[in-house]
Amino acid sequence: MTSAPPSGGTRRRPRRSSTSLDRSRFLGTGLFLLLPVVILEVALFFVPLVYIFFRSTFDWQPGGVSTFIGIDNYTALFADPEFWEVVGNQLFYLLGLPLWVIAPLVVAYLLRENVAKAGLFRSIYFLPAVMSPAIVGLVFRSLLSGDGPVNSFLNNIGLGAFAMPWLTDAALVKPVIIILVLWAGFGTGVLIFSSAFAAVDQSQFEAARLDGAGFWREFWDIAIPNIRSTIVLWTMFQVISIFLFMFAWIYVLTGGGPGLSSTTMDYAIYQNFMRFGYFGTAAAQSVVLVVMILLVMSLTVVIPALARFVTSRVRPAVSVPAAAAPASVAAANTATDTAAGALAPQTRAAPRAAGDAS
Amino acid sequence: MFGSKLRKRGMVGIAAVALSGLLLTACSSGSTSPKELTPGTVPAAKTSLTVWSFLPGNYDKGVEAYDAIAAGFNKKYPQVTVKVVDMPYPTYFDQVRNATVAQKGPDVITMYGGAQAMSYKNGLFPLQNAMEPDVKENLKFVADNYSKDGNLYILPTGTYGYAMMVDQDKFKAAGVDPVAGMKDWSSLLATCKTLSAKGIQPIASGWKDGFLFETFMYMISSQMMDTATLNQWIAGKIPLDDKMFAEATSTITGMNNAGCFGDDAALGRNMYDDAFNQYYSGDAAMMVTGSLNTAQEAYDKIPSTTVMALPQVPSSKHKALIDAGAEAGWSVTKWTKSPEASVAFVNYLAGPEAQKILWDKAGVPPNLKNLPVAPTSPMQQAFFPLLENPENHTGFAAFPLPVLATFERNAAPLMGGTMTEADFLKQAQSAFVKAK
Repeated sequence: MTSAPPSGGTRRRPRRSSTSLDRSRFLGTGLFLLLPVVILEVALFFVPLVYIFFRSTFDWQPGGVSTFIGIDNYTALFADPEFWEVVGNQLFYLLGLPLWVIAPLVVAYLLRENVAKAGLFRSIYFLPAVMSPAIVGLVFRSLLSGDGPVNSFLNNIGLGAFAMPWLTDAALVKPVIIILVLWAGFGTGVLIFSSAFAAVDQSQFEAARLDGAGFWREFWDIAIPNIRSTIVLWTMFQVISIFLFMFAWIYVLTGGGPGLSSTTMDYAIYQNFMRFGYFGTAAAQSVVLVVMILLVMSLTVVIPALARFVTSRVRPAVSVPAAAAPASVAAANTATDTAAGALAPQTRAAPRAAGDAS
Repeated sequence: MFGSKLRKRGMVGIAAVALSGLLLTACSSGSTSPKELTPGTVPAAKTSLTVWSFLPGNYDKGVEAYDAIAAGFNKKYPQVTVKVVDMPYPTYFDQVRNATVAQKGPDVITMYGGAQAMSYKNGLFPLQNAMEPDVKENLKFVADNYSKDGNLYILPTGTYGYAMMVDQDKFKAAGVDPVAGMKDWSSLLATCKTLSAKGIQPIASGWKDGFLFETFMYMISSQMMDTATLNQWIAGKIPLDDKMFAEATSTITGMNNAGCFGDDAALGRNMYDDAFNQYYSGDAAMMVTGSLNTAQEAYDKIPSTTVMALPQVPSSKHKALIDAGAEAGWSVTKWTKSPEASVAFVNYLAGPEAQKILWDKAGVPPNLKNLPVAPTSPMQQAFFPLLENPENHTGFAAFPLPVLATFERNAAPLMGGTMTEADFLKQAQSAFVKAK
């Protein structure tokens, strides 16, 4: 039985503006289109993560009897000095982060203008990114071996003192890997930063130049603030790479050695799970790895936010005197304040300081 | 009203969590009853067996040989079809691990015994009671392949023996008589020095993957073990910080110090396989080999090649032992479609018919007392007396995988002088303690 509409007429819906309706439809469609991605994300990431966490509380024996042991896997892991050595390695690799961010950033900036065949350079830089780390790793393993071409070259030009056991010395191996990862990811960074720079309104640079700003002034006060969110994005990507994508390099170059001095978490998890059959330990280590990534990622968000907060609080006290500041600096400051997306072209900000100066 | 709704939502939440837990627990329940297989009648219903192995690819006619074995088994049991999948060695054990975790995959697999099989024990049936009487009576190297839990997870087949391939022309060029130069340990070290002085690298080397180090470790530690010690080692009762392993490590670095592996530059050569190429190309006077086939290949390339035993180390418990045992073995997986057919197949593989096919087609010496084979080629005639020495045994299979992993990642630093023997053994012992 259906209820009859009151007073013989159709029930009227409250009137909504057409804009509101459009927005609602748009939102609905958007959410609907997002649904597959959300489902995939949940199925491929969250469910396995929950499952691995669940498994980490067992003496996991696939095909055998898995006994619930609570946090024993974690206790054993945290009591194991080798685990901490691997964590230490992971943190050491994080030291490469400034290099992995700054080097492509500077080069992309240099390639921005007045460089002949800049596209060719970008392509050359990008080449390592399309090569398999496993293959590149094999090549570097040969190049850097004791009697490899690198040491032979150094010996032949009279620099034998610099010929080193690059991959077999515990003190050298991590810095060498940092350099190799820089080489491998450099081109991608250059490409991404170049795209970001291309979207910046060039008139900002022109104006700054008219005001007498030098290379570094332009770089720090215009270029960097304009592509800040790209830099954050790339930094986050690099952080994730350090934790999750070092495996191929370590597997091929060093096997985690000498000792454990180059072992990363992902490689240790692989070894524990696939080679040794320590399933519960590997599950616990995977959970710890995810927590570590979340912590480090949150730091990359929290620290810049704190820095912005502090800067905004102290700016009046340290701001450059208007009369002395070039217009470009003021423009950049404005760009920083607006914190607009780096990839979005910036409109030229009203040059407060420049106006004052003039 | 609001409180009631909240309580309801809370109850639903708790129920959902409990259900998830139950579902996950249900997913987690593994088989709790370890079954043992026994030989029996293969059912008449048609079935097929999938066999994973890295062995066919090891030999020129390996694929042909294993196909012939499959055909031979099919002739005996027409209702069973066998498909042998030749898999690459470098990723083989990863695939087996995946299958073990998924409890799904092949019916029969190639596996090493001892500690290595034990690492996959959740996917393998114990086979100590699955041997047919004839096989049980004649199969060699069975004791070496028991795991420390007292189970035999493989039926071992084939024979390997680690010996030194010796290029006699290189020895002559250095004025060294090969027999005298390999007479005992001090002769070997003196030979290394003499060859080095003549600009000849004594032993081809490649330490990066650590396999060469492992090989020498097997060869030397086997010499240091009498039967009682070997049994203790197999039972997991001898740790890696035992004096024996320290001595074995020192012996290998001592060989290095005597110039047996060439100068510092030669140590940088990459892999175990590169060392074979180094020998084949005439760049070294000796190379270690475990396989008659490899020795034959070396002989074909360098006809002045012969094989000789590695001299006994000073603390050897034997007269002329070489580290020798089964080439590998065959396991039945717990998820096999037909345990009866799988047991029949591994027994067939370990029996005289299959091993005769392997000898005839691929040149793999059998490990059966009731299948004597006659060496024909000069290399076989040189190798067989070494293989047939009744002193021979191996502790190879009892090295836990985590220990081998430390050898593999630390061999190059140890031999290159950037890691001390103490650190090397400390890491090996740490891995040994963790091995369950």
